[in-house]
Amino acid sequence: MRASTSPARSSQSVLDLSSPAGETLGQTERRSRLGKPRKGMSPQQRRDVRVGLVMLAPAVLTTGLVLIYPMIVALQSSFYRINTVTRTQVFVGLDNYLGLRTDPEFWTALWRTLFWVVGAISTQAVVGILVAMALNKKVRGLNFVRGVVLFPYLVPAIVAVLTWRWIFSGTVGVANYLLVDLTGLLDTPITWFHPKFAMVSVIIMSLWKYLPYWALFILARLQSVPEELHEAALIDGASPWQRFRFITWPWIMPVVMVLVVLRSIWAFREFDMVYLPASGGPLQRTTTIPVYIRHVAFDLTDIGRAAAVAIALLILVVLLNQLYLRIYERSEARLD
Amino acid sequence: MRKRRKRPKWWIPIVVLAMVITACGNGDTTETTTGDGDTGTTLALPPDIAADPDFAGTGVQVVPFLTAENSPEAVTQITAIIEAFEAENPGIAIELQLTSNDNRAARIINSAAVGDELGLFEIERRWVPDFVQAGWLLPLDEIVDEIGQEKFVPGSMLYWPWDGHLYQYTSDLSAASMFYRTDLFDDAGLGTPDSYERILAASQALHGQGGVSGNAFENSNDGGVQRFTTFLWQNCGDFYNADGSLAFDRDGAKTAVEQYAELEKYTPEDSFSWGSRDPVNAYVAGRVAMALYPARLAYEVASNAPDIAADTGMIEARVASNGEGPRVVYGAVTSFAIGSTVKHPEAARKFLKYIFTGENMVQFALGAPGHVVPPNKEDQAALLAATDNEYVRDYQDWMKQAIDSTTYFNAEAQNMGSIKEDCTFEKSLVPMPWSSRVMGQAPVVTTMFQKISLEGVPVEQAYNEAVEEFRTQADEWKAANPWFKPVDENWMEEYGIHIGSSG
Repeated sequence: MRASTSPARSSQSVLDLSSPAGETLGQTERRSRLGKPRKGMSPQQRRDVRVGLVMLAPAVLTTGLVLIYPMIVALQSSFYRINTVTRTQVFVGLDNYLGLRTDPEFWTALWRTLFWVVGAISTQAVVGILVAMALNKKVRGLNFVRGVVLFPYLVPAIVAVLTWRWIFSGTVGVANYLLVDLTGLLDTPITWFHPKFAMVSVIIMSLWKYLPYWALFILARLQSVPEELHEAALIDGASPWQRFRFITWPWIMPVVMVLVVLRSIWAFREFDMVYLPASGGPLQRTTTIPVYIRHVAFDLTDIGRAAAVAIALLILVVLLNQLYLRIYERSEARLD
Repeated sequence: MRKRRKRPKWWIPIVVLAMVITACGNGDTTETTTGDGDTGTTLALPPDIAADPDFAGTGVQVVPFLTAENSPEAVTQITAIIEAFEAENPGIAIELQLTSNDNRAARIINSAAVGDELGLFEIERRWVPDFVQAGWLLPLDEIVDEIGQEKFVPGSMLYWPWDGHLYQYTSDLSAASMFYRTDLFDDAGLGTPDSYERILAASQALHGQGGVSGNAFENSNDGGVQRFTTFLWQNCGDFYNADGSLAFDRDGAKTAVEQYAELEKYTPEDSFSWGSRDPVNAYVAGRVAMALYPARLAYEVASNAPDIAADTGMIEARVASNGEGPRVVYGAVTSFAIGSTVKHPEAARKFLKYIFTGENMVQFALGAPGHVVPPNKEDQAALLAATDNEYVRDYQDWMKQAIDSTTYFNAEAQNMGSIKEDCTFEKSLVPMPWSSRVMGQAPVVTTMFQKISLEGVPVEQAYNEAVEEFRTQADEWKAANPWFKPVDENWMEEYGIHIGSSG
């Protein structure tokens, strides 16, 4: 069963940057740079290189201005105590970083960030796969449903949060009305933003908002699964779970991994969807690192320390993404 | 046949880049109304041109006006005022810059920090100490002096105690009143909620009756602070004394905490997560029997639930035991400042005075009658007389109460130590420079009440922890800001400031 259902690599993987000849982009670059000296270039090739450089310039400039420069400024700021308002600054060396080691608020926020990222990404991945599979069925009117599914992703975060705050309201909210009054599923209403549930409520809001993103990417991948694989599996008597486990999952996994990497990066730095529902509360239960950074920068008016926290978060995200990529490479190798 | 390769168009990316840069340059949200008689039109001008002292070579003085009042109605109203001003002052053009509440602080701070021109803009009190220290604000004393200090509600103009200047002009005030459902109170045979005992009795009697909660005294981040401070002050407590020393360890503060914690048992269960409008929504939906809130609630309930409005009483908030304690309620101040980088200070001052005094101010206040109250007593009288407005005419009693409450309002971050140890109330005008630390994202007071109601922490323990937190935050701030020194008790006399008696 396993051998027959392992999908042939008929298409390139999502992160595969191979050239048509089978070389990676890096290999091609190295060969042209080292194997062919520039002086051997024809005038046409030189012109092409010049045009290439000019074409690249806007992207390089933009990246430098909006990414590299702010990162350097943040790194530099992290060695100072800087008043957020007046920008007066005092050099404090590594104090901002050393202070983080003994700052309980930082560590609590860090653990909450991890809880938030794991909770948000795992629920979005699972439900995203289920929805994508449902949308992949050949049913009449599904195109309309696919369009509707996209809707939450188009809604601005502030609108989504305000809507959900209303849904979860204990006074006029519809969620408790449905669960208690209408269906009788629960005896007592849920206090959605109670410290015990606050982060779960935020994760539910986030699931609604970002589900379309997952569903559409996975759906696109699902639609490229060769039909004959499922047909062969059906003839072999494979159960729905076996078909998912040995055909669908290996096929969609590279996309899922890319989504996990991308969405994790976004979730680590997610501010609006976490801050807007409860402003970091109650009792700081939804204070993740970005919310904590806001607190340090604007309540404690120390933008230098806030920069140090941001750099610490950056390092953590880079390390975690290295881990993700390693898992991804391993899964790719297994697929081959 | 060999196909001829097309020659690359190397100039295309350069043109695209130039277009992008040009588009970015024009993407500023600046809108300018011009005084050229072309009424009702707005022109988008690049900031460098709009801010030119010699605008378009005509000698027109351009004053930027940044506001977060960006609703269509507000913009229409402000635009009309600007056009009228420009018609009366042909040499001045007002550049209306719209922003959102979320972006306002960042935009102002960034502009100030890099030395951009800041014209007239709304300023939060918590930024004032740093702005004044950095020399970013223009004194506005002469505007008040021209009108006369005595014409303003006592303590509504927030002078800077360390040099006696006025750096923020109060455009409007808003103070809390007690709202209660007369039908529910009558049915239950309850007396008017004008003391802690009566409020508690009503909360206990009405809580849970027909889906109604006893009161809307929430412990959400901002709302908790706003509601509790009235209890704190009327119980003779305060957060800090005028010299910056701790006052929250007074007996009165502890009593207020105990009483408020008791009343919290009768609020809707999720009130700790409420936003600023949720008390209004709860009251308008008929889900709470009492609310302590600014007059916006009155306007909203009259507009959206006239049947509930007919059964609503709006009275002065008296919340301490037996209705005793100083006459003081929580209130908010909206104020505007002029940046010291403004190119035409006199034109900016002239416009500030034009928009926030007299008939224009009254028209502005009619946008939310009772919630937006002018600080000038003559303007207050004019507002009350504006009976062309349906709400003002039909709810005269409520309007009177709303305006009257601004004469004894207090604001926690603006008047440190206004409640003296002898339990008298006199506005200090001394700001709490570390207010963002103790009243910011997770206010100390709110955290204290949330620990009590959500985690079951004993009141005394939560209170003691709050006392220490107030002390620590102030000490840390003072250590980082050595310029701070206690203000001389007689600073107002020294600088010739006469705000009149508070309360």
